[in-house]
Amino acid sequence: MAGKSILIVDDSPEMVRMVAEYLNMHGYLVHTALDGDEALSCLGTRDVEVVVSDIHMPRIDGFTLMEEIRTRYPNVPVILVTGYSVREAERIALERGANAFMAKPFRLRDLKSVIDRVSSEADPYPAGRR
Amino acid sequence: MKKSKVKKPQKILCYIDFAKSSAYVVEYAHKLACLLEAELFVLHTVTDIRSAAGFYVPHINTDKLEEEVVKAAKDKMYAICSQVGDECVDARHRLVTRGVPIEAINKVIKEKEIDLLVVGHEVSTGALKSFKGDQAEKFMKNPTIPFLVLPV
Repeated sequence: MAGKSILIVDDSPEMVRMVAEYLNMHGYLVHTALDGDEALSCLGTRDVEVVVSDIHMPRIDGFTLMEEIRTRYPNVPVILVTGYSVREAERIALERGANAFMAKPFRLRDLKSVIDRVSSEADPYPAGRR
Repeated sequence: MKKSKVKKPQKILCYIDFAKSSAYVVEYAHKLACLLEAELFVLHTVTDIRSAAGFYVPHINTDKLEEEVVKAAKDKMYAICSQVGDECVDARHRLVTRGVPIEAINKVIKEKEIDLLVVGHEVSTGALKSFKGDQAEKFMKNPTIPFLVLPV
């Protein structure tokens, strides 16, 4: 049985690589994107159950990406992460409807726990299956 | 053509990338090692972020993340080997290193005086395809010892 399908969005390829490697080892099907455009294109073609996105990215930032996801795929949970202005970012993220927020640097096992929590709370019909 | 004396392998190295087929590759290598009465080593490599990036990555604390990835890899290695059999691979022979897979394979071959490499060959799919690559193909380009490629 395939694991949960996760989309990791971060403009740092190193970060994406480590998170993807870790989640892959734990049986998740991991998709990756290095910016918001790539993320939206991935969401349009793949069944994604949870999106984990950095906030500070060029062109489309994490907040804008989340708003697009909310419009196009309202049932896909979004976890926002950042290492900058953490308190302010957390407040804005949760106000705008993020399912969870994590401050960098985070522990990968904590990220995994948050992914499991938000996906268990989510609608059972992920993007692309409607 | 380089000619060499044929000898029974005494040390076998099995490289796995944690794909679904990894348990099968380890199981095959284990059975082969039993038949040949050879020692079996199993190797997996995790990404060395600094080497991969080629520079210091200041905006993220990679050390702790890397530690977690290595620990998860060791756990995964244990789980895969246990799936094949409790005693199938000695704990000291379950190797998890950081770095580029093909370099790690060649390093272990040299250090442990490996006679035979067993590796699976599959078309990688999904997001990790650009990260993983195909180690069988890479090793084949400049092999240092005989190798066995398992179609998976």
